[in-house]
Amino acid sequence: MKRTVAGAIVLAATLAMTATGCSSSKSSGSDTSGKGSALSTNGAGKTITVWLQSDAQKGWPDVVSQATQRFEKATGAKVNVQWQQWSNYTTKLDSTFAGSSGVPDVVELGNTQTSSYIAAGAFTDLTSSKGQFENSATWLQGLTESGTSADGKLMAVPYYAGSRVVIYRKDLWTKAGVTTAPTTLDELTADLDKVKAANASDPRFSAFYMPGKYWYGAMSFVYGAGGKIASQSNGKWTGELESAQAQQGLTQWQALATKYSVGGTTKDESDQDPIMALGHTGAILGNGWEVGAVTDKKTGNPALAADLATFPMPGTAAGKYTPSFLGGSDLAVPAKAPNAGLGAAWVKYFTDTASQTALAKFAIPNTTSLLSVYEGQAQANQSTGEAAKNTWFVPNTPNWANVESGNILQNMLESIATGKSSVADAAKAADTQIAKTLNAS
Amino acid sequence: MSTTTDHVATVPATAAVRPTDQSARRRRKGHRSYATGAWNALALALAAVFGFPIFWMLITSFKTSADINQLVPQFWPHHPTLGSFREVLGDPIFRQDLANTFVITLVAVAISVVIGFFGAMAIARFRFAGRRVFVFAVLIVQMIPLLALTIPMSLLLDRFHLKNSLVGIIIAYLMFTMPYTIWTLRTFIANIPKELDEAAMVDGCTRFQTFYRIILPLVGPGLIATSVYGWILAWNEFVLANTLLLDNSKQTSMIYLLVFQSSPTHGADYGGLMAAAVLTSLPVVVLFVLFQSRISAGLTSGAVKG
Amino acid sequence: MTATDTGAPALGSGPARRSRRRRRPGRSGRLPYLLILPAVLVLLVVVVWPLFKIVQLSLQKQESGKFALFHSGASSPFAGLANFRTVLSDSTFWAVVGRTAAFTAINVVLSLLIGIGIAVLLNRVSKWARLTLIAVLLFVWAVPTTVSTQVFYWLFSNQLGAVNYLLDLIPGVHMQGHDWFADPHQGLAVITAVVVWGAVPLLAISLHAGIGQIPKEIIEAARCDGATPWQTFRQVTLPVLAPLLVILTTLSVIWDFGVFNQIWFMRTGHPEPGYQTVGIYMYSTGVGSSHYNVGATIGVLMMLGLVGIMIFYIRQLFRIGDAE
Repeated sequence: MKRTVAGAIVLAATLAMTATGCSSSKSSGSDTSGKGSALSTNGAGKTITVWLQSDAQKGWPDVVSQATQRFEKATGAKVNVQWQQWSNYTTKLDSTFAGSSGVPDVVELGNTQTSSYIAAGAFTDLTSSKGQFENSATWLQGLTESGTSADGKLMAVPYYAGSRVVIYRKDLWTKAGVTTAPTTLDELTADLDKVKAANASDPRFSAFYMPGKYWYGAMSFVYGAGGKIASQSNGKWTGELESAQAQQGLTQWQALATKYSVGGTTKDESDQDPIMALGHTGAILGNGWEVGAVTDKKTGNPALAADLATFPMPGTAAGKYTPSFLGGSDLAVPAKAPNAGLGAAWVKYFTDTASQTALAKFAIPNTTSLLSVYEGQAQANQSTGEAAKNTWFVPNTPNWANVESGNILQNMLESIATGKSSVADAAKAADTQIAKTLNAS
Repeated sequence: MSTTTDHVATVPATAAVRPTDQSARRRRKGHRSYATGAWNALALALAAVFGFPIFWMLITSFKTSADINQLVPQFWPHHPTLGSFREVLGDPIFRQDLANTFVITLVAVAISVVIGFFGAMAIARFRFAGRRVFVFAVLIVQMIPLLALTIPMSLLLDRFHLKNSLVGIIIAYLMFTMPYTIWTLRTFIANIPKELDEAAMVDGCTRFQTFYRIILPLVGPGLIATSVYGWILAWNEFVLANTLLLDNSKQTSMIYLLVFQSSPTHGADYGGLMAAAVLTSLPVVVLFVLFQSRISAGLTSGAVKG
Repeated sequence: MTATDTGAPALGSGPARRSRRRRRPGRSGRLPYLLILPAVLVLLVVVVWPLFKIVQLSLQKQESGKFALFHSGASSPFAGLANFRTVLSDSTFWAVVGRTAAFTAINVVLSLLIGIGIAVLLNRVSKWARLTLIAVLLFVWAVPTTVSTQVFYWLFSNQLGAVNYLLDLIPGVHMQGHDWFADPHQGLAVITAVVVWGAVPLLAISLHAGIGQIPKEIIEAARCDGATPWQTFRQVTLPVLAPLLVILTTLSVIWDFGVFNQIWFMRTGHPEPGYQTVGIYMYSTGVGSSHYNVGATIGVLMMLGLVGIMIFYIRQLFRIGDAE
């Protein structure tokens, strides 16, 4: 008897909660679909919240503060920057966007993450304000595409980019008899053979350190050989890694990862800079700023500064580089942002010529018009600037993020690098998973 | 050995032959000091094995960056520095996050212990309709994977505008600290002979007085032990804190520690990580040391049960 | 369980007490309900609703990406058991389940054995040795898993790790550059080391306190009777520790079954298929990919699985409850 009463109370409470759930969901459902927003300059008494990754906190805090100062002066609003970490970031974004409180006015996203949020209607449409963002006509194409919805609307603004080049130890290469940078992959292989032979007595030595899970690196060879990760026809995705070209690219990568690389078969690229700083590495494939990480006084070895140099990853023929993955970040204004107009205005200041010129010291700015500024900063930047002209990007579809979070490519590469499966078998297995993931409804 | 010989042996030992017993004990003592030496050695070896990662954390936090980034592991900070500690302690966000962690943990554990004590009392001392349902619920709740509940919990707190607030995260932490507390305290209370409170009630104590005068003091060590376990769980929680707390100024230390991991533009800072981790763990260690003697002492002195 | 030790009224209790009992025939009116009321309220708020939500999610159609979530599920059609069918018919899932079962069993058994061993040891050593070992255990206990995992990852690193360096010093052993994570079995062994390392302090210290409760006279008596240390342990120590052991085993199973941080950080956020236990699998196919419906389905299955493992324990618990 009492038990039924208690049961009824539980049930009633649950139903009551569900009922409130339904009503609020209706109201929130209506305000997320494709709402546009114009830039606002009227911010007196308001505070906007900006979520930026700690890359900016550690790398270019001044760029953030000067943009914020100009924004505050122009609008009268205050800015509250909250530093984020990449770890579990999407779960945080999901839970925040799904709710109604605590939604920031600006968020930073990795450029491979944006499309799934755009498809979910998580962002404010900025198409009508595009002209007000400086340099929007010359934004880097790859970044712009990652921030554009399937029907061509601007949902996220390019923030910064990175492209990968070969970072090598000039001193070690010279000692091995290599004095000019290779211009083709065959030359690179011949050079690496020399570097490897010259250091044969060092069992820890990697002529080219290529971690086994470095999918940005490996896929560059796939694209360089004329292959691609996946293609779409009639609305259906097919994995393309089994194709002859893709397999040729994977085999080129395999040579680097197994023949010239020591100790990285089960790792990703996240600690390749401190590894290079230890001095037993002839070359890595990395972003331009990784030169700074290798010589960082805290996490690297400053003594190597004079010995590091860069060149774009050569391709199959001279003058044809292996395309680089265009990594980077976008800035978006959440659809539920309380001050969407002010958020967009802050993005305008943070991505304008003044900010991006300052940012060009650290990363590739979002516009081709500032590439020369960037390239003038350092030797490495010339190579990355060059590499940024020939880039590849992941299949731009909302489900792509799940290929990444499912580690499909990383698992494929690791099984190739460890020799657990052949290139053909690994590619076939990955294709099946890619098709399944991208075609999931 | 059979039960009969057991009895035969016990009777003389306890009754008449005291002197023999004494001398036997003395003889054994000499033999035992040898054994104790061996056990001590084993204990030290275990302490070394278990302590090695701690040792590594500590020396890393005192190493210079150059010594940390060495191909050959350095087993001693050859150029000891307080740089990492100075940097961590100098960061106001670190201090703020540590304070947050403290408040969140303290309140969540306190609420869990109070509510949990009542709940545990009810199931250990009373039989009532719905008791089994309640016991079952408390048990099942502990089996729910926290990860799966993160998003629903976030939506729930959002509805009551408690997201990104310490109150909200405290409520969320009750999800795992409270059922656990009920579950453990229940055993501690059940271990107190019921005759004690019955006797107290015969002597004219009210129910409440019985709780207060008899059970609470006896279950004290249990309360402390349970709180300490709960404290650890809450102090070290990561996923919920990362999802529910949005502002840097409201985060917990566990989230702060992520700063030192490598990011696309920066390498991992092991010195900073270890210094921050040592500083974050220290309050818990101090707490342990303070209560450790009490837990043990309380348990042994309260050994009225038998 | 222990409830029975004290639950049954002692035979020798006097008639006065008996009659008093009879006046309140086992039930105590409103009091127990008042006592559990706060707990029930908290459970209702923090558990029942989220639980209801994940069950609801598991029964809804998996919408592409995050769509359903952002629109609060209003548009998600009811899908019956389709998600369960999908998950259960996936051979990967069953491989994961098998791995999780083995991983849990090994971790629970190892941590309990080492925990009991250390607890017994603590009662035999000199005070200074005891204090040293306890101090180390307390520090170990206090280290968050996120940190301890990174420390272990570093210690077992193939190039820079102290473990390979030290093992390599042993004559005849060549561990230089050995990659502990190339073979998932070895990698999971390292992860087991972190899990056990972190679990032992709680077990050893509680069991040590438990052993301390055993009156010294009983052990002395057993010894005088000629019982070997092993017999003393089996006949005297273990029965006294039994209730505590049951609790600790229960908690260990629950915790080791759901191990997440240790695997996640040990594989730097990208656990390979050979490292996936149920918690990781749920995260990487569900939560991390914003496939909350699938994630919820795996979560519900995880719970059911755990209840399944615990069923004997639960049944025993309730049988005792009946006997009361």
